[in-house]
Amino acid sequence: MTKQDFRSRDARLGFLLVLPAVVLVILVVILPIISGIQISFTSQRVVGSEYEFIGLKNYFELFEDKQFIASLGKSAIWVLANGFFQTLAALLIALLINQPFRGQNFVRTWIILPWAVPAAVTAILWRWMFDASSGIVNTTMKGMDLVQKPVLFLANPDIAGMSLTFVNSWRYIPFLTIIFLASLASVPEEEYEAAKVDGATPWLQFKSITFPNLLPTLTVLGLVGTLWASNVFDIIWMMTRGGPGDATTTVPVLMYDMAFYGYNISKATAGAIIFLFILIIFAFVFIFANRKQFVIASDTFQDLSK
Amino acid sequence: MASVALKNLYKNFGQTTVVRNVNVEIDDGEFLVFVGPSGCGKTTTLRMVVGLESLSQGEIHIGNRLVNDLPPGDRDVAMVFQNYALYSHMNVSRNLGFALKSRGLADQEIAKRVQRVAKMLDLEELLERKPKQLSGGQRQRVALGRAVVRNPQVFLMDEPLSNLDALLRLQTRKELIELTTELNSTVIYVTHDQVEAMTMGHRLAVMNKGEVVQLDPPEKVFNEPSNRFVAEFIGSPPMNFLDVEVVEENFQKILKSDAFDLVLPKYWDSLSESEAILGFRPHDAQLVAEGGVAGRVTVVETLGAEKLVYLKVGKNSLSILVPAAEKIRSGDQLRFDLNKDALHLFNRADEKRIMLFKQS
Repeated sequence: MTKQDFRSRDARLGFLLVLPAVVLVILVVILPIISGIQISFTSQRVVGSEYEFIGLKNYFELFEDKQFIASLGKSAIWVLANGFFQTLAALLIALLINQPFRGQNFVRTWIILPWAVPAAVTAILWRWMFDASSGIVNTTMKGMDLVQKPVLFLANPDIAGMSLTFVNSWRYIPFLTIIFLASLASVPEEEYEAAKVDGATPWLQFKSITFPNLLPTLTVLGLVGTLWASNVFDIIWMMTRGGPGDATTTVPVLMYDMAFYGYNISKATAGAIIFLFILIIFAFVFIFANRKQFVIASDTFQDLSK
Repeated sequence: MASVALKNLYKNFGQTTVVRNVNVEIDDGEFLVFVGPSGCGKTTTLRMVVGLESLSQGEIHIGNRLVNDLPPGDRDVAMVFQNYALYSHMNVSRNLGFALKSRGLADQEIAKRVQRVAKMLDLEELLERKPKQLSGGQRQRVALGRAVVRNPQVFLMDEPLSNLDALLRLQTRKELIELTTELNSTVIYVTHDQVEAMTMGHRLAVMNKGEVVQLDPPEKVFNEPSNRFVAEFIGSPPMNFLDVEVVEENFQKILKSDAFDLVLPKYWDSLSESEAILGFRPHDAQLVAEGGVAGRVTVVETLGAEKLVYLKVGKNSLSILVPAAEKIRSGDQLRFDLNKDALHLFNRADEKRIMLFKQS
């Protein structure tokens, strides 16, 4: 038997092994997107209703729709605020609990808890805690004389976005922390020891050893986090429904509202497709701009899985 | 450069004492080697000197400063780590200059000193490379350069050659000796390799189970090992040991083993023990046609210029070195004589060397 033979046999086996995954992706990802694109070219109002092909009309309408344009802006702010707050907080927490202390393993394990709580529970829990009259946050602040009037966390349009960012971050910080912790664990201890012998201050150690080692992880999280944050719907919908007014109406919230309460599923789908393309372009640009870090990151994750 | 004094050093991890009562004074410009098997406490001792490990008890002086409570960065010592511990995200140039940068030196001064060390260690071509792009030997030189550039009071080296392949290790060993001689450095060197210890150290501190069991120049450690452990650990192939009775016949001291008798030279006459452990090195035996000690060959190892022959003598397994030209196969019967001036006797009970006036 020649060398070529077993190579192609191996390739065939490999293909067979990935086939189920490929089929699954086609069924649940590719087909719905294609079907979505089809719907966006029609005048369909609700699922199952009659419709006709109207070309790009939905798209033209959307580009003139002030509410849609505004929601794109709100999504952008939402992503930046969440990304900044979550990443910074998770990094600080990870650095903190990476220092040896009593009960470290306990903390490292159970910090994941908020992430494991279902979004619906999180939303109800925080709505209840943020309640103006009986919520624990307001009663505590009032008890400590920090505020005269209760803070309307979810009803004040200037504050609602921040409140939601906080709750959403509360959910994601643990997960990010765990990722950072894993990444910190891969920094060789000897480099810190060498730096100590070389007389480096903690800040210099962070700057020249910790941070460069975290950079690939930060980059990957920058991409994944942006995509996740962009698509957050559950927390916002369950806590404010995009309100008060349109204050927290990001693109996914608007699309849901338009599709199932505005009875215009084809236009909403068109909006979703536009959003999808914006994210795809973002992902490509981001990966291309940071291709070096992505290569290192994939090496690191391969090393970690060894 | 400075002298270093370790006084009554102890290190406990919980209930376990890993370093016990270590007392060593290292002179200015001396190359001292801590040598011992894995887990003997030599690396822990070194880490206490550098400050990466706290002391449970004792004092460490560098120059005339007590450094017990100083952080590593303030002790003015440089360390070469076993796996080099290069900063993986910095190129060679920044690796070399990092300690100087930490100390707030001007960029110009840093560049000058990095340049000089790079030249000394033949690293000039590699200054822009990252550690990942270097070979093992090059990384080793960078690690060394990182220490040299600081011009520290003391160099601390933790098995710096153990990750190199055999040929490179020999070469680097020689270069390291030349470099430290040229710089007149005070060096504390840790290794488990007794050949490295013998060739590099001005003095050896042989450690076992957390204690320094002998602190002497290499020749003395080799010729007069303080106990059975040192005798066995230092020297390759290792020394042979067998239990003997000491009897006196016709005013002569005679060693009796289960297979042979050995008349001791005159100067052993004051030997008072009635039993002992006899030790002799494999190269202190010569083949003879008649007389001597008889044994049956079990294994023959060809070493090149010599052959190492394992023998069964009575109940004991011994080994001797013979010229490679000797045609010997397993199963052969052999006779050999021992060089009686190279015999070592150890106490049966505490395994310490039995010393007579003549010798010391």
